[in-house]
Amino acid sequence: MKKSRKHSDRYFMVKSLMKNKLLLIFAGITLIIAIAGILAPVIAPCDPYLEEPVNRLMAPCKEHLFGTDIYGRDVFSRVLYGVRLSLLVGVMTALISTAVGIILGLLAGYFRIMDAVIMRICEALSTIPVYLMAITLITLWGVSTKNVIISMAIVYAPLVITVTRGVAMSIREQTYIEAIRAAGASWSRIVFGHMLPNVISPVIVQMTYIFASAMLVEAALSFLGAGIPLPEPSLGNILNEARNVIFSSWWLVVFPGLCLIFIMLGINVLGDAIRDVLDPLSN
Amino acid sequence: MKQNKKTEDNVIFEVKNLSKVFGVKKADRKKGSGGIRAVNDVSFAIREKETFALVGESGCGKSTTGRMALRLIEPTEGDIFYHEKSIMQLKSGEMRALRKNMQMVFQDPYSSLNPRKSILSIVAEPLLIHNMVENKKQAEEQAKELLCRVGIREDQFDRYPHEFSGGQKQRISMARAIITKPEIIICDEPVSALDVSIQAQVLNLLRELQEEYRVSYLFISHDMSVVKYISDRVAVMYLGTIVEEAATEDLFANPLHPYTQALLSAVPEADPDIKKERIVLYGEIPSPMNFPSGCPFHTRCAYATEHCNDFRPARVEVKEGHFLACHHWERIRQSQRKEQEESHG
Repeated sequence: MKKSRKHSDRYFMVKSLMKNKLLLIFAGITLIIAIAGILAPVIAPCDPYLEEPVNRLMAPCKEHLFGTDIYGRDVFSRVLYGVRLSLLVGVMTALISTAVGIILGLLAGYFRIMDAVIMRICEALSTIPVYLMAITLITLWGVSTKNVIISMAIVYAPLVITVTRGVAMSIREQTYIEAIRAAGASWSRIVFGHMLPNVISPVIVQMTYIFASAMLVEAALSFLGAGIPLPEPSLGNILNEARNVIFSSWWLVVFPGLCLIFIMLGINVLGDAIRDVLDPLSN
Repeated sequence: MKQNKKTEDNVIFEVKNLSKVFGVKKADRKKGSGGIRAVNDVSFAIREKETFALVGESGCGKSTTGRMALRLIEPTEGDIFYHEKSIMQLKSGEMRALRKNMQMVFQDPYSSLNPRKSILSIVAEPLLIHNMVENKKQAEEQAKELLCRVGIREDQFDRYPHEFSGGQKQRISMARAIITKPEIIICDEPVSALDVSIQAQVLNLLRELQEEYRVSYLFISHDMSVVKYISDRVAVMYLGTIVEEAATEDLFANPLHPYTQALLSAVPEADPDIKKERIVLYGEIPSPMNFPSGCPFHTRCAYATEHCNDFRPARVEVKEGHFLACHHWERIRQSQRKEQEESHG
């Protein structure tokens, strides 16, 4: 009984997502790019670090689909590895900031005393511009992939905290929370067993947004030299390296740029679609 | 006297001089605002397997009293006794452990069940909270049994609350409350959100469960006919105070407080031939923010005197088991008897 009903719920959700043509197109392109990125070690035709000075700045051809860069490295392979790294940074940032944000947000929403402390810290953090904050933290801790992820998780956690706390505060006043308290439940059971399942869906929407913007910020940071350290390829530092030869070698800018654009669009369209499906008022 | 002693022994739950004042912060006190006196000096005792009803109009503090009895809201003043032991001093952990003996059924069936949990897990959860079973499976077994008992079909156990009607949800709430075999259940208007036809079913279920589980109810309601049907004793509340308390039959046959009389005269009669004289109260309930001096009812009472204005009537036992808080009840009764005799003569 349960299985068939759950199936039908999911069926309707997928069906309503399928109706969205724009979503299908962008999700398809994003999916292809993402899979290619994930499978980079398998797909990539060349070693992304292999420098062949003889072949520097070659235009796209059969051997080098996206051409080569100033050191003669294969841009196609570098872009694949770059996508892979960007996705990793996006996913990790989204997961860490969401996990931290949900816990702190629930605590702020449930305990009035913690609310004041947590929210003041959040407000203080969100007054600082994203890039400035990220660059400051990375400068403090040193440039590395791990530090890029951690500093961006700190930058984005307040977003999740604010959303979670708002929902949690309205749920706390529901009778079913009072009922479970009357049944003798401890605060951890109330907060994580009963409030958590009710805040998940608005947070998922927030998560897709963080995923997309973390990738964008990572690209920007790498472009500025404060992100992923060279020679490890990321979409941002490929662009950075290309900026001196941008007018003579268009392929160095166009391919990583396009990848970034399509991933961004795909994730944002997906986030909107998820929000529409989860929001009962829009159906 | 011996009889009396025995009934005293059976008291399982008692509240003494319970008061709740909302919104008294330091800043308010300086400004001189006394806050909202939602409940004012309420005392009552509930015996084993008894249904004790708390009636009164909206906003008179019934629900607040019920929630305070379970310490879901902390009382401003007063004490609560469970088996003659005060529960006011208990730490939160001890209080939580005690909650398996005192449960609650809420007014709104639509918001009192978590929309994201299946009803089976909702009903099984109290057992898991109090470690009354060894594992989840055992808890679910017991929950299934009880859900069957309250009339939920077996194929519905995995469903979510929104798939049930109000009456069914209230049955599920009752199953959740009774699964830990509590000694007392606070029923906060459990049937007021339901259709009249469903009300009777739910009330009968409450009665049956009382027989099976020997549980006492604190039954909070504004509906006099429901109260007459289900309760053994009734306390009438007005503006946060209990004005009259008596055995149900006694109270309905023989109301002594002018407010109780007015309340009972407003209950519709099913027989159109019975002509009832309505006692119409004038004015509004005073705001609990500026609580009237003296008797809380004096602003609307037809029999009020200067004395009522100045002095709060004490709770007196006018006959066995019939308590009253009115200065002039004897005079009122005499004048009413006289009126009756005149109208008959």
